[in-house]
Amino acid sequence: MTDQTTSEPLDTSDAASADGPAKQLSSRQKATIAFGPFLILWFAWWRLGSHNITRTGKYEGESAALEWLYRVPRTWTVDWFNFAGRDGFASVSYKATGWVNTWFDHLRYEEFFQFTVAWHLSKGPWLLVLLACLGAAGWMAWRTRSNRWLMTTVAVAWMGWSFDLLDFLHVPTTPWVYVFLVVGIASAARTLQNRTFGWTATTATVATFGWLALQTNEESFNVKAFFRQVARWLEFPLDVTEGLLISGYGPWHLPDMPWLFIFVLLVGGAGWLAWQRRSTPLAVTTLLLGWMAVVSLYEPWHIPALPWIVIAGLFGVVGWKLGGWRLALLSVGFILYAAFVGEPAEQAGAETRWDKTMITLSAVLVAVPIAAMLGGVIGLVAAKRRRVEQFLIPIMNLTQAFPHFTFLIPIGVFIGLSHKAGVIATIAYAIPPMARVTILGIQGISSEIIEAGIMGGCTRRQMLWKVELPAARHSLLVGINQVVMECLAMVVIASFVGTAGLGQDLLFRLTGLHIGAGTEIGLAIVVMAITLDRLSQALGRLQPTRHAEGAPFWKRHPYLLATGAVVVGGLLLAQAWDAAFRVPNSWMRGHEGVWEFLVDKGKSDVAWWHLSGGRWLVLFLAAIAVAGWRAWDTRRYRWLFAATAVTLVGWSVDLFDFLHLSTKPWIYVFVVAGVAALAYGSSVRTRLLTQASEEDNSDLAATAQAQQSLRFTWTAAMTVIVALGWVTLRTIDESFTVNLRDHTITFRDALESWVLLPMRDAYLTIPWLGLVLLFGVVGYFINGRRPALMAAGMVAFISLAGFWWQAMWNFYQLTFAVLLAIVFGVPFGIWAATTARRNTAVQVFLDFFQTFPSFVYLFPAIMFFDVSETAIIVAVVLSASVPAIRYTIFGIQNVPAPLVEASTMAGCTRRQTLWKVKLPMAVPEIMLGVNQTIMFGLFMVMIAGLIKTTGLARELIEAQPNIDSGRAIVAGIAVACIGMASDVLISEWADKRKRQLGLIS
Amino acid sequence: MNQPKLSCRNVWKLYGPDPEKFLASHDGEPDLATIKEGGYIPAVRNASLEIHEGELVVLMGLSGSGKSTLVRCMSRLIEPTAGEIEFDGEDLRAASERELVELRRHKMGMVFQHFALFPHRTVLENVAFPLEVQGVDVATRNARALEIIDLVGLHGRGNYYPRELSGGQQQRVGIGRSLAVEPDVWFLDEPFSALDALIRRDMQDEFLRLQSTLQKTIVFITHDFDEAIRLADRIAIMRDGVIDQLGTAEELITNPGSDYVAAFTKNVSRAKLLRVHTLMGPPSDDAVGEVDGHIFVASAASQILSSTVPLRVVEDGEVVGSITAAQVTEALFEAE
Repeated sequence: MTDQTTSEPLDTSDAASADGPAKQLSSRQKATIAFGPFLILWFAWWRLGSHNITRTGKYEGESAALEWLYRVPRTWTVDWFNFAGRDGFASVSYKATGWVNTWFDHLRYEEFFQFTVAWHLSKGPWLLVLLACLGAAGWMAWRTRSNRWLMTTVAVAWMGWSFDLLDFLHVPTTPWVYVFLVVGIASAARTLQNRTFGWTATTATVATFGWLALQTNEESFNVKAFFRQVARWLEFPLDVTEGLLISGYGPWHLPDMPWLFIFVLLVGGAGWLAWQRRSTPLAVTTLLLGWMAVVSLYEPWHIPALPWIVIAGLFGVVGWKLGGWRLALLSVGFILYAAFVGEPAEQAGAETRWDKTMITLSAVLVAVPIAAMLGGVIGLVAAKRRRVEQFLIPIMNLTQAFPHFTFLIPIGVFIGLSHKAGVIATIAYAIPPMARVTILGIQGISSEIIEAGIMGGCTRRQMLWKVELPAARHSLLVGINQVVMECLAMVVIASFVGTAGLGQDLLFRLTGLHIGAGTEIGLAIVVMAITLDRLSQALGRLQPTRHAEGAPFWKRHPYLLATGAVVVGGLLLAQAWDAAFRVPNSWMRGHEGVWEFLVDKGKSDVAWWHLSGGRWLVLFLAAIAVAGWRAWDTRRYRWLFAATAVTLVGWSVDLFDFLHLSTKPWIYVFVVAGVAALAYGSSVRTRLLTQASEEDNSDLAATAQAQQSLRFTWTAAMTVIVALGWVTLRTIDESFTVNLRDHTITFRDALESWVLLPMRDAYLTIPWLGLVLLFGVVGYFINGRRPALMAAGMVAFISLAGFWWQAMWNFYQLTFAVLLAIVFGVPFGIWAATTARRNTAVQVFLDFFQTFPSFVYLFPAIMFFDVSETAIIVAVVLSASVPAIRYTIFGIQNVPAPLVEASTMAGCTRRQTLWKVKLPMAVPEIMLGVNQTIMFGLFMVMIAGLIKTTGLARELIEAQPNIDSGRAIVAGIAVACIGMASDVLISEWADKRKRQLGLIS
Repeated sequence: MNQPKLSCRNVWKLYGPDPEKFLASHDGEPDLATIKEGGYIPAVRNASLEIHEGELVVLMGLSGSGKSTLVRCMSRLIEPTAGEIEFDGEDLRAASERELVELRRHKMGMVFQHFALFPHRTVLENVAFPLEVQGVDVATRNARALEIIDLVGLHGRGNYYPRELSGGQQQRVGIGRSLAVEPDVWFLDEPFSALDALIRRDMQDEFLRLQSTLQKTIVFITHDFDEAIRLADRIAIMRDGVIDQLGTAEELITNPGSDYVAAFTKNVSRAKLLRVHTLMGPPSDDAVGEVDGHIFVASAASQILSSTVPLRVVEDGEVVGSITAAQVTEALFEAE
């Protein structure tokens, strides 16, 4: 197994060298050069030193003479990455040494505060410096009458003040707040009149700094306080959205800070605009806002929560607007699922599933716009400035290869464990993809559009707002879709640093190994992910619509009216009927029992699903009747199968218990029916095929082929149904004691003892020098010195960081799982790429799977394999197969059609065309798929740390309770190194190969 | 009239690492081989051109000949490497960004090969776009845009989106947008190349109709010689970034300056381009009948070819020469 695994890079170097111009070596020689030293070193270490490695991989040998062969000795790296609690250096009292950790530790310990106290400005040299700056700027402003200098003065004063410059005046800060607000607004107004970029920027900076300083000035200013204050800004939108969705917001009245700021801005802005435009409506608005402000001074405001029925309605309207009634249905379905599914709260006032879902939703609703905006701005700047782009792209490559956990710990350090820390991690995680898409979108605008804008006489700002952003709209919206998905994935994992909501619940359940409940929550997250994904995708597809001239108001604004109707109607209903406001406990139903039943039969009862009586029976009978009638009426297989399926399902959930029949005879009936259907399906297929080939009529052949594939689909569906029915039968009926899970566990045990554990042990003896050499040589053969150095350097870094055996553990999981994913994915992709019909079906399927946050793949794995090495591998294979399939389809379909036609005309059979033309042409693309597979797999291995920690995932997760930032970051970089090393090799090779094949120029 | 509306003198545009320095180090006039050796891509080389008020100059050449680049240098969409560009006697290269914006807002219009319509704006909003960025208020600019939409023959399509229009209609919008500000100089970059042959013909007619009422100063790019001779007052043929020859269609055909130009003009239907007086010989006594010297040969062909004796060529009532069937056939078919 091991040999087969490691021979994969061999093929890579083989094919790459096939016609490499520079090197005259044959591929056999190259393989020898690459693998010879590696194998020799491996063998040497295995014979000489591997007895020093324990079965779990820890190095216990004292023979320092040989340690260097296996990994970079600890004594070399102690000064850099000596993390707390690591092997050999474990100590009861946590204290990290080494500069990485020391640096991060500064953020946690007293020294840092002492360091920052130097910035306290009410005394000492800093005061003089600031006063001097202030004086100089003020004097220049007076002399030159320039706004610029005036603003500088204000800025300096503001900054100085924010650094407690004016503390010696012994003035309470509160009145100052108002003074500075007024100054800020005045300068903002000036900005609006002057309308230059510099002005806007200055005002924004000043206002930001002032505001920040305002909030920090209670304590002395320091970096950590700075971050925590920035973080506090998030509390406000989070509180408001959560309040709206769950519990209501308030009470607040005006001196409360963010509202004061908002109201001053709103009233000031509206008033100023009203004055400028002499507009009555704006004046009225100003008065209204002012009145609201005054009222709030005496009577605190309270914003009540929205009734769930209104939320459902709003989701429906948004879905309808974005994607028609189907999407509306999906969106409402999501809300209904959140409202009705889940265990009712045990005691009054406890959070229900609904509350948790809404907390997660509100975190996403807050994180998405912020991440999209930040990412957009970064992307915009990078798209315009080449240098910034060159600087950012490698950083983004690195951060996108980081596992999720790496983002969490530093944020935990800076901000502390809290809900908002998780939201910030989520935002940070979602920024790079948005920036990337923005760069692509802005740079992808056709040059003619840009020129048309310039020739229209746009200033730079007009270009941005009127031409570039609207023209790049589609890519930006694709970016938002990505941001939504990244946020959803992260907001769950961010529960490690205290994010509330579904993720936290999931984490508790998973760590307590309540798989059933965990699956139920996972499903809730999946439903949310699918809904938000489809909504944001539909947003990207939305085109502006044209209305006939003179269309009535209701025709032009149907969605506005629907929204109004939903809100008003919902609120009225909620007033009258409590159940429309909060879902009563008695309405909620959980289905965790079903999942637990699947995992461990008999652990819980599935009474709710017992269908022999009541409304469910009626429902099922009705479904069978409808499907049966349709089948009879239309003579369509579709309906026939539907009827069969419903019957099977109904029967399998004990629907017919009331018949008092033994289940056994029924089984035979169903098996016979299934086999008959299969036989009929295949006979029809064969007949049509022969007919088509005999008559040699292309029209007929096409129809026949279409019909054949139709039959084939039905047959396949039938098989699935029968199989499902069979499985259900066997798992549910007591009389069949054979349990599916017994089989899987047996399989798991065999796999682990015969394959996985030996393979792991073998990998754990791979010496670092050998692997560095291997990657370096392969890299050199692929494309010269650069990839060689990069790949070798990355492997070397892992060892330097002191994570060698951990990395090798993950490396073995990765190679095994990726190989399996390729073995399943590539043939499946080839199969799917053969007809358009299959392709569409598979694409839908893949889209669906890709919507899942990756941890979801853990559930089926745990269900069948418990918490084990095998479960991790299975989860990785499940998630990593998706890119393997996708890229294979893409590669095969991208083979130029003339080539396929040429090979067909040359008399190739289909098989020959596939092997001799399509596959060789598609291999570069497939290799890129393999690259993605490795990335997906790597992420999944890390996420599998949620259930079982192995290798680097263990380092990452164990770093959490210690808030051991240095260790987490370096481990994160090590993970990224594994990914990037293979990325360098594979993408360089694919690139070169594509050039050789003329697929790209 | 004496001062050209738009002129370029010795305009260069090279792409490469440091084109200014390269040009300076070769006395400002490196030849093609030197440029390519130096690793530079020559887009425009030493182009000089004067365009007068109300004149329609066509820039002609194969793709990659530098015609688009030259036009973009004239509008400073592309910064030329060297040379002078004057607009109404003002040095365009010295203009600040602000001045350029003003110039483009009021004096220049441009039509693009692939229409370059803003997909997020309706036809009306597209046409009104240049006015919008100038800050013209909504009512005025919409009124003006509606006028233009009627002018280009898109009445009633104001609130359509570009994707709902055919290619020809889209280009009408593009033309309308460039006309919205009533520009002095009108740049058209292969405006009809992306259209089907039949529609292209219609659009050319439409364009001639517009031009006959508007009388703009126009720089028109095309790679289609038939289109050029239909529209142009003067044609500049470009090749490898150099203006090979500049003249009227007739001059190019009767007197090609290079083999390249000759090859270009070879397959042109000469009868529709050459006038009788271009082909005639000296007045002859045995001539009978009369033919007008100003008209194209094609129009007089049947008369001339059916006559066995020379015809008198008459201009404004005076006999200026004579023409025979042999002269016509020789002139028309000499190329072949």
